[in-house]
Amino acid sequence: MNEPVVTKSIGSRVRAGVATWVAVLVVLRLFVLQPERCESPTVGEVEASAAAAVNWLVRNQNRDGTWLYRYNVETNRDLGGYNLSRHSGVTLSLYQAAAAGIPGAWESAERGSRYLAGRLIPANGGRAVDEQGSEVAIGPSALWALALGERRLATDDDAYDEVLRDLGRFLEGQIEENGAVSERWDRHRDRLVPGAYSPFFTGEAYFALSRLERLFPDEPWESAADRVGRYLAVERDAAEDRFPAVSDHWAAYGLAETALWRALTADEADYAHRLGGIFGPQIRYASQRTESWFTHRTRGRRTLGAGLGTLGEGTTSLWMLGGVEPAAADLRVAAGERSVCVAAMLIERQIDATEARAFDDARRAAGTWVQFGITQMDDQQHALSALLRATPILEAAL
Amino acid sequence: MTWLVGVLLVLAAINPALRWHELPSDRRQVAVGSGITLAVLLFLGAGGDWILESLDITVPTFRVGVGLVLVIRAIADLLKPVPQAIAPAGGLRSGVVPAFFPVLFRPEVALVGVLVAVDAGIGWMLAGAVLALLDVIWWAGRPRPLVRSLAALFSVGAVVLAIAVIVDGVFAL
Repeated sequence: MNEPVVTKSIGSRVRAGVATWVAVLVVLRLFVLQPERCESPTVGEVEASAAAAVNWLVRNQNRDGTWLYRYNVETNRDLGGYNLSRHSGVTLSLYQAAAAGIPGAWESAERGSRYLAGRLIPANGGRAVDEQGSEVAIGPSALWALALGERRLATDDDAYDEVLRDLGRFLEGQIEENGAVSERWDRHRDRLVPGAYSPFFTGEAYFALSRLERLFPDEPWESAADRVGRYLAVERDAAEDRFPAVSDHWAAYGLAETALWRALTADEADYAHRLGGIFGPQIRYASQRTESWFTHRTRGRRTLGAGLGTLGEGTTSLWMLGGVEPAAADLRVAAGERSVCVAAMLIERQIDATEARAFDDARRAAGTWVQFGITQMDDQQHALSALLRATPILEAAL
Repeated sequence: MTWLVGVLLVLAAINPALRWHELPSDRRQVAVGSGITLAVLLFLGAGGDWILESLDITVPTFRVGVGLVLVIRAIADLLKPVPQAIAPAGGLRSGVVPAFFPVLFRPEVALVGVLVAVDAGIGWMLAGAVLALLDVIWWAGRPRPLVRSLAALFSVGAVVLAIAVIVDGVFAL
């Protein structure tokens, strides 16, 4: 027989049961399972949003090829500053847009490239995009190599091939014994600065070297790309003491690129899955954020357009990877869903032409993503890339 | 989620050894409560995808929520004294109250049922539920050896599985 000697009345037990149910469901919904707002946009909406971002970059490009860097839409103030990595990144996104046929993107990207071409200096047996100071960061060179690679793929124009190769040689010279990539080059010693690493330049270099192997398969780029890829997959986060692990959309691009010319290793495939586990929760969390008082307090404010865009770039890369690499095929469905979700959030959060009229300078506000009233050109860059790369996912679902 | 984890999750969520303390000793009443529980779980499991979609919740996020509920419940079960028996009532209506509700049909059971149905398959959710409910029917009204240890074992298992589910949810694409 049952052992308890104390009994409870049915009424009190039922009341406690009802209270538990209500408490659990209410607390769960309010604090853990908030709605993830992931509409499915149409291809047309995605293209229109991407075109608006391109138009912002076109309208806000200076005569020398640089872009308006940082701008407060609410106070109509140019906040100044500039960053060559972001210049190269914007150039890359514009070549992506040009490949998608968005008017104005090609001309703007070409002006951006001409600006960078004027800053090339010999380095590491190749050439690098120069920056002020005794040490030169590799980001501008890696991203410009990616931009030129995109240009080459879209047009077959070989005008920049020698520059591409020189940028590749420069990046190759930045690779250390174990595959780590030094983030800076010492102009006086003409060598890498040992022990200096960036969370993103390594992935950029990996993607660039992998793209060079794809573009020029008869040339020896494979080994350099493989060394960096292995380092990223098995060593980087521990060796560079990165915790939490880097949300490295460039590495995801690189893996998708590598899978186009060889099968991924088991370590690389495993890394792709780990990257999915980094992008996914961020996207799900971001999709729960609204402008309401309550979600500001329980989920924080909405992330930067650039931040959201990088997540979309990461998941679109995993979607593409899943389509060509059997060891990553299981990522494809979820990567596609998250990519579309990011595209929907980007569209919803972009200042459209109507909303822009509320600001002093609608030409500088329309097409942007802002946080605290401020937009930076890489907001448009990453959002644009994420939108463009979501288009084939939506088309595949049609 | 593998089928084995799914089955074990349902078993751990129901925790038949712990329910034995609260359930009526009349086996027919327990059988009625178990049958209703199984039917409701089947209904919820079949509509699991629709429920999550309607609430705008993705499966990985749902895993986190369900895992949290289960881990809190299991830890509470480990720390609390065994539940008190509910004053007996006559007739098969006791199969509804208290056997089905509030004893067997609890938030963690319903949530785990939906999760396992959408994540591992409704068949495995049902398999786990049938195993657990057959257990409660079999032991109803019978002296059950090592019942406290067994209940604690289920709770520990629930904690371990719930943490695994949370981790799986957090780090899923």
